[in-house]
Amino acid sequence: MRLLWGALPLSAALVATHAHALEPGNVGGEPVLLDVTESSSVYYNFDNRDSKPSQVQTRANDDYGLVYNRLSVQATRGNLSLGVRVDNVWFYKSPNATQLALDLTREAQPADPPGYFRGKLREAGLELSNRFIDWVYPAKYYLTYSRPGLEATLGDASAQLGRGIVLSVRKRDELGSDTTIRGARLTVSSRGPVALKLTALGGELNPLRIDEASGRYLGVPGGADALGSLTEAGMPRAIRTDFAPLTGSCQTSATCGYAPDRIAAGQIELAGERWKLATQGSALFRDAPLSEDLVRSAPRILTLSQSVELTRLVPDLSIYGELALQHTAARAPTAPIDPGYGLYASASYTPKNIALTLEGRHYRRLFPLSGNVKLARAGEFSSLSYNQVPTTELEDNDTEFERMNTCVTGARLRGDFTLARGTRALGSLAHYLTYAESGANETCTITAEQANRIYDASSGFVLDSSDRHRHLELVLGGRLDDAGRDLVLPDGSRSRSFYREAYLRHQLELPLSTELSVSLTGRHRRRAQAEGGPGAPWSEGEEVLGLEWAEHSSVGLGAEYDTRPGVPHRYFNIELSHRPTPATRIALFAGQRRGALRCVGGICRLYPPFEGVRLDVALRF
Amino acid sequence: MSERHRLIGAAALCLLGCGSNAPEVPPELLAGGTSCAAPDYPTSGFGSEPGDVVDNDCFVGYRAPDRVAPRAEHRETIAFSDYYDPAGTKGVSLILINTAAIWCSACVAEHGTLPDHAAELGPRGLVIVSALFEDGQRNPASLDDLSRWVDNFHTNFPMVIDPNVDLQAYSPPALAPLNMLVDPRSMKILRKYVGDQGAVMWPYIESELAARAGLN
Repeated sequence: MRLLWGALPLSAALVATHAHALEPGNVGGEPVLLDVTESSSVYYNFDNRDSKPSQVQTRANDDYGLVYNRLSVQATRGNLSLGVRVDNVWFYKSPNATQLALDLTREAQPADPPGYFRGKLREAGLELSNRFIDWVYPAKYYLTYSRPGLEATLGDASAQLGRGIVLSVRKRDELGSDTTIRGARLTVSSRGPVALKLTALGGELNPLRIDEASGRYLGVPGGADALGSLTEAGMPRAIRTDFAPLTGSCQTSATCGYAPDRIAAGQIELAGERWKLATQGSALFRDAPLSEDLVRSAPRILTLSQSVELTRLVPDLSIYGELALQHTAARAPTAPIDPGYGLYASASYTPKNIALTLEGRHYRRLFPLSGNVKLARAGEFSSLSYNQVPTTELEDNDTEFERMNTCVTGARLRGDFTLARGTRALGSLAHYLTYAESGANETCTITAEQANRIYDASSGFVLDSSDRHRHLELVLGGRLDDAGRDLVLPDGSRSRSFYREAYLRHQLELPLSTELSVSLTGRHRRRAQAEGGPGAPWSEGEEVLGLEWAEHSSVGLGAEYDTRPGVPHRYFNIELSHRPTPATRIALFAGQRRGALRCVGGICRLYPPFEGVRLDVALRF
Repeated sequence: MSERHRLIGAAALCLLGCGSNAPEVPPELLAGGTSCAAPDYPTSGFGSEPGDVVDNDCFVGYRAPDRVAPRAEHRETIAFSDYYDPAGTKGVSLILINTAAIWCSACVAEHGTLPDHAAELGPRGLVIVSALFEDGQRNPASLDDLSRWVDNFHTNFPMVIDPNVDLQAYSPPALAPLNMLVDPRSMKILRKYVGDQGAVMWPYIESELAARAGLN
């Protein structure tokens, strides 16, 4: 279903209004409601200024354009809902492998031009073999029956059990991911003084197969078994190219980027008025590994947890705790790994004018359930994971390096104090001891040399006018991260200072008139990373000046900076957004955005810089 | 000219002739070239995935930086074919091709222990060849960078620079380090490890060395 469908997305984007023909009707005397959402993104990527000599990948992300289209239709009749989302991508301009090799050869002036050219042509050919390929595929589909006490789904379903240690598959817009389980899900619940809820689900994990930010796709192998043939019907496949033959094995075919994982999971939950007990578990089963790391090469991972939630245990105090056990089966008997475990707990104390939250974690060999992705060919999907182990840190924290969260102990206390009407003070204090940050330590060996001691603190205030139209928030913070051993710096000197950061976040909102308001939002960071950093402290940050008119139109002017050597230092952009009707949104981004690690709850993805134009149109009927 | 070179040449010519928008490749770039010459090296089956034969790339660096100081007069060209051992006469049982960059924290951490592994497993036939490809600012690594790296980590195995990033054919530079195990009898890739995956890689190397010792 490639290529021939190339024209579909653009036409869908331009003539989507034809979907107005879809009207509610009747089937068997019952009304059928149709919900149609059409969302299109048109990108053009210019030279994003990240090119490095002789590197194909940083060159291949320049000068290409695509249309990404998502069409979702849901029909609801009584207790039944039937939905489908079809994604398609059309690259109206993409790099050419020969041109990439020629450009690199011309710039490098190598001693052996034919040999250099041949090498770069092969690298470029491989790089483009699973990138910039047109696809249309059924991203999600489901049939759901729902009535009080029962919900059954066939097809794609999201799920989160407990706080996500056992299973968390859902949409994460910040990372451009939307993973579901394609199979069956059943939830049965009863009411009463003690409510019972049973959830069971199983099937194949179904991530989005096309990465909008890079144009890379995840190709699956052909020749799957009956379940795989059903769940992967119509999905993007591994393809043969001039540079990447198909060998019949996903492991040895370069364009085969994903071998769908299978999962069975369940939860038993008992809940009273002020308490909830839940036992949840998941069993992840893998095909042959496409990446040889401890988690992705494990043929089977079992994760179990017991959680308890006590709300208003005493007035204003709520407590949550979850104890998890994880067994990661080793692929080879020569490399067994001890079972892992983890304890996550949080307590929330909210008397009048105070909100205190204490979160703690103690994890030993507690791993993310990473997807069976071929990192060497589809590294953009490295963050694909089927659980989300709580970090206790800020949601967008991006300074947990390497595998810090797999072997860590620590806690964070946050406070929000209302000092007077419209005046609040904020603060947080955290301390962590991790053994897997400044060096790989999958076995979670506890030694002083492996340790990193982290202190993280922040303090600030919030001022709100009585009508809440004026708002000012300012937070200052910092992080100290010291290793338990001498680290080797690029100049050969030694240091135990692993990471340092001081930052400022602010947000200002002011009304200019009854319909017009202005905002200024920013974050500024001073950072130093001893091991693996650029060799000297650097600054980075952004400011966005926004104007919003009557809650349906906005303009954002952005400026970003990054003083690291070897990257552009300044970035400017503009973003326009307009909602002509409540069901329609048009947004245009034009300009530059720096490359950065973006994280959501400990799941992180490195985005390259962007320079170009993006137009988003979303319509709902 | 090897099968690989012929294939790539044919692909380039096809692109040249078949596509109306295909760029023109100057004839001089389609000539034979002077890349590493190794008459006995395999001539077919090249590729970048497990089971494929690795290209005979060659680099400049130091073959034994623990025995001779990493200075200009000791630099030499090191090729993968130097460790191709089809008959087992060179005593090479397993080749570990490693990449590193100064900006890469996992690479820095990994090289803190690589010399110990080399000292322990070298006598059993493991050869480590490491290629430094970028500096702290992600510019191509220089021989000065290499000398500092070797001094800092007391490197005791062949280490070279890869300023042309030739090893990106096997894994993107952004995901460094790459650790690729190669069978010296055939130069076929056995396994690729993206990132520092010591917990699974070293047990595999141990088991492979034991199995190969049993075969010898």
